[in-house]
Amino acid sequence: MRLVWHDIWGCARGPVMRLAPRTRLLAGAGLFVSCLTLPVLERYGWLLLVGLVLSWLLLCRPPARMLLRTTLLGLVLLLPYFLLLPLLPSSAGTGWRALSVPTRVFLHGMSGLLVSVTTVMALTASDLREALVRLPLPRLVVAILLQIVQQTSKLLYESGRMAAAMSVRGASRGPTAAWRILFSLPRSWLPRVLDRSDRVAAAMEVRGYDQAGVRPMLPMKQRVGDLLLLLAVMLVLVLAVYLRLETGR
Amino acid sequence: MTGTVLALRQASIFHEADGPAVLEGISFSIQAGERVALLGLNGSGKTSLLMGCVGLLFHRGEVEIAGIALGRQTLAQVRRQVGFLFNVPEDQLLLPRVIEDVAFGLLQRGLAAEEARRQAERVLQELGISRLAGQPLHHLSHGQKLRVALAGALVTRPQLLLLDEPSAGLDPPGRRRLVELLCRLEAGMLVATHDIDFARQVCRRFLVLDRGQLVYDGDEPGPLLESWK
Repeated sequence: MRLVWHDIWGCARGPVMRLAPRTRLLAGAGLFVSCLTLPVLERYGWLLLVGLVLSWLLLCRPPARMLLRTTLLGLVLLLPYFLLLPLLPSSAGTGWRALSVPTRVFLHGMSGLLVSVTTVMALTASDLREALVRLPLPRLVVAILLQIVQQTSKLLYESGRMAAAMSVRGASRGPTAAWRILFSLPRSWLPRVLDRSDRVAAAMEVRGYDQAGVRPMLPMKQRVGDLLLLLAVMLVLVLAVYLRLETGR
Repeated sequence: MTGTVLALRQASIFHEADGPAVLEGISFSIQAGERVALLGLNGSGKTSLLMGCVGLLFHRGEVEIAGIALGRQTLAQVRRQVGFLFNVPEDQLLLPRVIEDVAFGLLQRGLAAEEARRQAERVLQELGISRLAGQPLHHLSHGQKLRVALAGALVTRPQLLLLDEPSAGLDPPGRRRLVELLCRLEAGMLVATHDIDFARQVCRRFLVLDRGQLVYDGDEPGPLLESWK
């Protein structure tokens, strides 16, 4: 089956999928913070970063195509930082010293992106709901987060249909048409989004979404594996903080 | 269930608190178990009337649901008595999977998760869509989404159903099943539609709106509807 973007939720097939949703979410969040904390230009920091990203990928086993797309997105977003090199002030140094700034941004960004997108792939939308409602977060925050995910999926799907309609109604195929569609989407998309948000808000009111918050639906199963993974992630996080404090950058 | 489930007395409905009325001087009532069609051309105020009944639009005059007068203080209480089907069913589907969405209303009322799931499964079975229980909502067709939204509205066994264009976009078998289902239900209902055949199959009483006024309330709107052709 063709994998569409809103099917990214829960498409991973690794052993981590057998663990409780809350464990997967917490582990992903912990590893994400570790990625941003590690001193990536130090040898140990760099090794730990590569190790944790690869381990998470192996544990989650996301589809290769999604992984490739994520990596390409990361390259597109982060490589341009190297173009800023000539603009750096001379106090930033020259040669390797100057390269260190965009390299650090690149490594933090790419690892954070891979870990967070893989975490998304390791959680279905239902898992996310179960995980969030079992965390000690304010009710309103959980309700809003869940609706952001839910409505974003709907909007992505609708945007796809609108792009298809535009191409059928005049824009032919090819890169020029793609650009034209891309730039005209906001004009036709925004009024629809506003209209829809009004209607969804009305439905939420009538269905009592604002009254009691969202409650869990599945019984929580905590296994030894959940505990082990959380301990390992905590260890990585502590190590990352220690290395950061030790190296002072 | 006995008594009046919906009563409007000289009710006017407004989109804005100090704006012009979209519906004016509307009076009618619906008894428990009564199925009433709300007919009218596009823009006649059908959807506004339904929304006004659950406090989504401003109103003046009296609106009463299951004996509770609609007001700021009673809004939540009134809405608990109502199952509402919006004209774009997708808008009211708020959770990722079918079973979760259908069980949502029950969980909000404090039912245990296991019991809520059991009751949601029973409603899905009654609607002939139990096979969809585990499906993500964005994988469903329009007709399936409509039935899931209806299941979500029915699961709490409301006294009053407010249905906005329930037959829109359904294929003939889907439409037939919907007619059968609605005729089986015990709740009082107000069905806004301009599908006259559908309305005749489901309802015995007809209200006709025209330019913000209730122009007919009876069991044979034939001559009036002739003028639409």
